Amino acid sequence: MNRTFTPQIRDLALRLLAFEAGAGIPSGRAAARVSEKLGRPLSTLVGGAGYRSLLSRALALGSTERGWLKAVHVNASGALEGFDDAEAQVSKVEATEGGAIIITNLLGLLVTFTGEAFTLCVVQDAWPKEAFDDCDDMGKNI
Amino acid sequence: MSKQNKIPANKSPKTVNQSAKVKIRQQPTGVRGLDEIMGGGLPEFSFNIIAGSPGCGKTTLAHQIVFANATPQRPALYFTILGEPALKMLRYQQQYSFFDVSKLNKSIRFINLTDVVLEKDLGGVLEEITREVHASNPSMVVVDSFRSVTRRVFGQGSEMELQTFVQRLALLLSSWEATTFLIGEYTDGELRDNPVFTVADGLLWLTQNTERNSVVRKLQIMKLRGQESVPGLHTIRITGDGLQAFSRTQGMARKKARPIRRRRLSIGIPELDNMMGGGILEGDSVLVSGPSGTGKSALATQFLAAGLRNGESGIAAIFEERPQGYVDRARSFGLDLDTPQKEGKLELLYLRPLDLSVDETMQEILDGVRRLNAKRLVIDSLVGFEMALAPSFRVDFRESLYRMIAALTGEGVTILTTVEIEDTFTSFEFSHYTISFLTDDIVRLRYVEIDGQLRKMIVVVKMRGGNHSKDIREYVITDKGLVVIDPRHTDYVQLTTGIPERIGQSPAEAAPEPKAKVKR
Repeated sequence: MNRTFTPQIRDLALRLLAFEAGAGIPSGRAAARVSEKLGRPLSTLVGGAGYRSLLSRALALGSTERGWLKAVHVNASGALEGFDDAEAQVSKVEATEGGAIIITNLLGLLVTFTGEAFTLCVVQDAWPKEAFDDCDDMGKNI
Repeated sequence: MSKQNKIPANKSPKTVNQSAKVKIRQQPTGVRGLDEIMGGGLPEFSFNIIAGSPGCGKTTLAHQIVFANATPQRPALYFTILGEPALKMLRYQQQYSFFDVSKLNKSIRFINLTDVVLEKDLGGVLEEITREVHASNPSMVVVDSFRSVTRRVFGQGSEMELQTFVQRLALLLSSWEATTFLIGEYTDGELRDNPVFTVADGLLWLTQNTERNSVVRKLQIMKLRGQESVPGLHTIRITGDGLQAFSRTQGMARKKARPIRRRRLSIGIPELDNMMGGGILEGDSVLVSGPSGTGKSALATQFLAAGLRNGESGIAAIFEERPQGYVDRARSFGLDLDTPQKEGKLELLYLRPLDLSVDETMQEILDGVRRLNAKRLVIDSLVGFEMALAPSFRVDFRESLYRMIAALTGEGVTILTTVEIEDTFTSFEFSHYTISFLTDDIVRLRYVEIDGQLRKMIVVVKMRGGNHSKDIREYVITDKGLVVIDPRHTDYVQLTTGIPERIGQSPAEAAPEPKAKVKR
């Protein structure tokens, strides 16, 4: 199933990726860092298995949009693995888009299950120094 | 007692001991009606169990309590373990109005311990809980589901390990001044010899029973140390606002003593007022019984209208007729029920769901009475009321009526209840329910056959507060409502059988309502 999340969710995903991206950091690694950071509060909330299920689902959804993401997988500790090798096979733009798709799907799933306000609580918990008050209405038209 | 230990003569030992006693503060449950059932609220720092079968509202109850109490300064920790996946629990619980997302993280922290339970022993679970408690200084802690923990331990055959764990957990959480709730799916048979229940200060037992097509949820405080709770099974209902509890003794504790001199209230039918010694005594419960079509609802409407004319607000709890029908009939008697409704002086409560409990009904009525400061209440009728109840409540209908009427008259309200009975020609019943002991006054309506007409008669059977007319009077229902007509010149006996016998000479007397004439 290919689903589209709102532009606001994608904007939030891009923002989180920007926080973790830096000079010389591959897109995949930034996506892995974002998922790892989100994974901390999420694992506390829903357990390690619960978080792994969500991330796996986000990855599966992403793979339907970008086939090369099939080479990426979620390991036992809930981390994204295989991104570095997979993104080496595609362009930099495509690699960045792949990372954005996974994080957008992960956030979108959270909004679908627990709502916008709850999702923002999780994001705020993961990036306590950042402000996310401008992310209203990201759950509309999922 | 040694000389040094003697208490000075000006200080009584009782005074010293009383002031030294610890006072257990109470926390609100956030559940309407539950504080009263618990004897004021949750005992602070108590170690409680919320138990029951699946689907009876354990998790919702815990959430409601937590959301009502958690603050950023004294947050709540909500540990989830196995059982319902946390993601789904959070999804569903958000649908309740009490679930305030802004409290998450700051005031309420949800922590999933599934991995810890699966990977470590109970010592590891306790270690993790201890770590979180030390870090957050919570005022409340919930473990949901605790049964998952115990199942795992029993699976390994170590009851002693469980007992030690529960005691250490209780000690930890009490020492850290946290009020605690362990949630678990238990059955009645598991109550005995269970170390968890032994350690607990409070045990809230929730049940869900199905009878025929209705489902009724109930709550029982099986154990509560330190304060007096209301015993018995209390109905609970789960709505979009969460749980609401209905105390089975609601209102009885607040019962006011009746004043020595009570006013007489007009029933709205002057001749019936005279028959009742000047009217109904304020705060009385009056039962109006009679077969279908005898004008019970008309009489009830006149009673309400008389109150409204006198500035007394009223409530009509109607179970058989729709409110518009009530208003329309009143209009046909020249009584306006629309205006007082708009002015907030009258409410017609239409209560017809088929799985109501008496306690819920009582709560609805009590709320209405308090909202309007109502002085008069009509319950029309008991038969309809009984039909609106879930089957399991019909069994205890008489006891429930007793509680309800006591609670309502305790509010100082004058109640007029109607009940439909079938006229027989061998007896003179007042009600099917043998509830005359609940009522102060009884007015009986019935049909009698006189001169080829089915006429109506009224009699005041009982008035607890004073003398009343013993006359059996004839009445008619006109465009003025129920009107008691002048006493007849003709004497009859055996009127109560419905087939009276004319005695003595009788002058020619016109029928109260025209008879059909023979066409020539």
